Amino acid sequence: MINIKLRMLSILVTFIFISLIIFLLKKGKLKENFSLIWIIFSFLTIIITLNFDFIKGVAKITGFDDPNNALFFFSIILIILSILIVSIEISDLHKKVKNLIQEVSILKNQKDKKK
Amino acid sequence: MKKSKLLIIIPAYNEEKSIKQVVTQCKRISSHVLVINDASTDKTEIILKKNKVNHINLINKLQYGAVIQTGFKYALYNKYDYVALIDGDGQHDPTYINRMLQLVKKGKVDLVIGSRYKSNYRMPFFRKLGSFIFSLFIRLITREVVHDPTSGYQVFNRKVIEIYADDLYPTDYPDADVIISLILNNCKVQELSMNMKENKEKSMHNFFNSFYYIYKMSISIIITILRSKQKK
Repeated sequence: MINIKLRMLSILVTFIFISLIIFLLKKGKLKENFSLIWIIFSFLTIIITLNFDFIKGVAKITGFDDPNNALFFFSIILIILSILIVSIEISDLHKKVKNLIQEVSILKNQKDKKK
Repeated sequence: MKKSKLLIIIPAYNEEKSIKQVVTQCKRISSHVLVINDASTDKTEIILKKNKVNHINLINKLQYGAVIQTGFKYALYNKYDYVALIDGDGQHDPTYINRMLQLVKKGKVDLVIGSRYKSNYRMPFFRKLGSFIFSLFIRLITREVVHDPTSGYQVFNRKVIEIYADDLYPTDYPDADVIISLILNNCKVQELSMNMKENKEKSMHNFFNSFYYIYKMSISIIITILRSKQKK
């Protein structure tokens, strides 16, 4: 069982994090579709803080001796996944920017020819 | 019968010394010449404007594959039947274009590559090794012999233009993977060996970190094969 101080700290940090996400969304600095994964992170953190047995159960099923290890393992997998999503998004943007530069440059060439 | 149109595409990045001469030589072969100025920082653009050369100024600098792809898209939009791709630094001799075009026009091949491998052009060691390994790949996968898949001197028909203008075309440095994907798409590829002037200035390929180069080529070849299997 986690002690009460640690729980309070964890919940406080999570709430600050959620407020930060909402603030960024409000300012338009973060797109809604990216916010989903961060909100999921936050809710998972709250669930685990309030109910540590949950992670103990997960550790038992997956064969971890120490539930802490299970916690770290799954957190890292989630983080790697979110980085992958960002990489996919960047590749997509890269392709779109390339197409835009090509098309605009061709259009400019045609506009100059008509002059 | 409609006369078939040939477009000569010349990618140029900071080629103020050589571009005028290359364009003049190319104009003797076809009146349709297109220079793609890859956001040069020298006088390339001014020279092109002064000589009234048809050119596209890219609004931002792109990687080599994306630069030449701009030309392929232009050729596709303006309904050209054949495209000749030639470097702007003067290392390729434009007089070969007619011979290459004749090969394509006969209809037996879709793409002719101007190869420097068989001539006395000296490549840096690592490029030579890379070139050798990937020719071997092409040979194993497609049973065709291509010695110099990286050559920027090519003549090809509409079928190849359409494949090159596609989003799947690599935007950095087209290499053996492109040739493999063409052959897997039932295009015939032929090499024509020729003499090339040694390029004293920095080649575009020198940017490559050797290990990254080997990795990138291996992965793109695997992906190319997987893609073509998926289509079938």
